[in-house]
Amino acid sequence: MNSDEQLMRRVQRGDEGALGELMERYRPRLFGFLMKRAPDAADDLFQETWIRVVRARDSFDPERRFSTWLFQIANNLCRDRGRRRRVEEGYLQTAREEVKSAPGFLETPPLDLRLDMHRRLAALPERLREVLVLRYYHQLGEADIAEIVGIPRGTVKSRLHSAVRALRDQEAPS
Amino acid sequence: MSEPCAGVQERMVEALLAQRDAGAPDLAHAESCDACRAHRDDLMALRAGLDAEPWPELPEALAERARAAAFAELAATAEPARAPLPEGFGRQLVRVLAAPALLLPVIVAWNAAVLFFAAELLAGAVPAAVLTTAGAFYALAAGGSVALLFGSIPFVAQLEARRRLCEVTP
Repeated sequence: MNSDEQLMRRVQRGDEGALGELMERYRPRLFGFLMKRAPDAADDLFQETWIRVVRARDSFDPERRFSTWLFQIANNLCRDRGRRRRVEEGYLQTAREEVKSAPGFLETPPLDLRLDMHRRLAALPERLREVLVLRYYHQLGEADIAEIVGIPRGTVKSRLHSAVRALRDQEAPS
Repeated sequence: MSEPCAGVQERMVEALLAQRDAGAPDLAHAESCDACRAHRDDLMALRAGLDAEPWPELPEALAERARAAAFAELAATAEPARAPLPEGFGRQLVRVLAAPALLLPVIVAWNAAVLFFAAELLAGAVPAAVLTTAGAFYALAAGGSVALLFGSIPFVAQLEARRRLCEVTP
């Protein structure tokens, strides 16, 4: 069986079959990763990741691990999307505050006070969620995560511990 | 938190992240320490929650859509294939290169002969150091000229080979 890196070399030469094989090989892992990172846009990001892989294929160094490179691209896309959402969320928040401050507005209490794991993961700050998903669900080592996320290895470790702490803190019913 | 407890709790988190059970000594410690026991119970609950998270499959239709988009991108960004060499190009190239290839040893031999006979002729009249220096300069100049001239021949030769083929191919 061809290694990922061998397949990627063929993709660099324009081999469609090799690209299809790589996409199939990483379909569950990549989609699972994107579902944890950006559940509401995972299918679009899945497609976008592979388009970026194709566009950047000549910059791939076959001496590197393909999986690290792939997740680096996917993670960067998630970050870009997170940034865009924060900007949009900022506008929405301003609008909500304007509505709340209007006379006669009644604050509605949240229906579900206890967050399930899905919501707790979603509520984690992005920098913590990305390392936790890569470590727990993909069982990647700290060195690989450091390369994917682009931070020092020591920072990966401290962020992982912070993520676990944040999840635990969220666990208590409010 | 005491020093051993901090270490125990950190190792428990590491075990959770690696999806394995904490080490026996740490678990034994947790049995006799309220804080570490509470930490262990929290982490166990957390692990159960993380494991219960669904791992959804990408629907086939979406996978197909992504494949089609990636293939289209690959086709759009592929380098255009190089035009194949015309038939008989190799034979023509050998013919064009044959003349300079035969000429090269003659040029080298001629220059070597010039150096040899000049040295013989001037040996008594010119000091040896001057003769050696002049010989070295001559050899360098002749070698450089030959390298420049013959280095360009393959480029010219392949153009000439193509031209000849164009003339005979309708």
